[in-house]
Amino acid sequence: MTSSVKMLKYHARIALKGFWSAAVSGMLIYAAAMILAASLMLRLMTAEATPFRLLLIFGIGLILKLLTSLLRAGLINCHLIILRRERPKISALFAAFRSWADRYLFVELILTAAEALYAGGLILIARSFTGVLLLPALLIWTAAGGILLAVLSLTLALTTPLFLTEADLSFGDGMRKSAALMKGQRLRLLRLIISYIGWFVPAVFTGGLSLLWTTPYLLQSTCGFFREVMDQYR
Amino acid sequence: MSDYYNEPAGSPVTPPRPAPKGDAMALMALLCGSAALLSFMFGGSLLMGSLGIVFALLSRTDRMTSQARAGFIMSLVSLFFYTLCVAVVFYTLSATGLLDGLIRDILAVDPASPNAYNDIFSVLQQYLTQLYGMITAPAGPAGALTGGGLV
Repeated sequence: MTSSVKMLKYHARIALKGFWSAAVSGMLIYAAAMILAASLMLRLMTAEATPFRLLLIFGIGLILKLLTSLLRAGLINCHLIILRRERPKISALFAAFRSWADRYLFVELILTAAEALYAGGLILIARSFTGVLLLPALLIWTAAGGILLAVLSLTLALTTPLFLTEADLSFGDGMRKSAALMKGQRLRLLRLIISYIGWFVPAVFTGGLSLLWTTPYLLQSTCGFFREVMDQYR
Repeated sequence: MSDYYNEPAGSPVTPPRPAPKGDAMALMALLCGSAALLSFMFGGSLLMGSLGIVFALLSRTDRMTSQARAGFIMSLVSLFFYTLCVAVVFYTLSATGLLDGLIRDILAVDPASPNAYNDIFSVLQQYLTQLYGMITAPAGPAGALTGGGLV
């Protein structure tokens, strides 16, 4: 039996009771790393653009994206621990760095490549088409590419919790297992994520401060969804 | 609801019973709601009111506690009055013809300047002072609303 989006959110709020400080602390560390990475990229981008500098921006951007993805996996690990009613330690945030970090990096690389293809396609269309054809071409690519990207992201969504719970799972097996488990569940996860749009509106008025509480809430309910799907499989 | 959430008590994954008292999130909602009302005149209700609403909604289990509900209502009230005040100020600026000048002067501020925030703030201050002078000035030809921006 599967839980509705409303029930998943309800159980996330229950699970976080008494663990808010741990969840917000983890989010603070993640936010600090993200701000540091963003400010570094901004500093590189504001300088004069040369081919070497563009290559440097691309390389450093990719490394930072991969590193923050490992930290994001650690954040999911913390919420999986909270789901077990245990208090996560600071080391749980860096779990993905310790055991076979390359598995997470490969998945992130695939997603990054897909995002780059999508963005590259948009640039190519903007440069190739002119006049009345430009808008329909952009709309078609945005919709079709966006749907494909979302399907790929949702298909691979379970890889991180799978890698975290099964230490000996290889990169390929993790992806295959995630794809098999997410069959028929993708729309439910998408509905769950979309239901959080309203929760991110206060971030506009609080300068992003509310994200320290709303993001753990989203992650907790997503982890509840992951556990439910994996339990059904078992 | 899944079986996972229906496990017997004592299981490592059993969610705890919602605590009726001592809920930190509800208390934070109450504090933020109060702060939103108190800081209404200083423009703090946008920040504190938004946080108060978030905390109150996050504290819900089966239903909202009285603390959370009070915080939620105070946050909503402060946000409502804040929005009303902003709307009244903009309407008055528009009616007096000062709004065009205000927008023009704000757009003239160089966003790359290190003092951009201070410049925008001082432009706003100047216009609000002028507006206050117009409202409190005695009616008649000398106190007539002129507008058209600061020179």
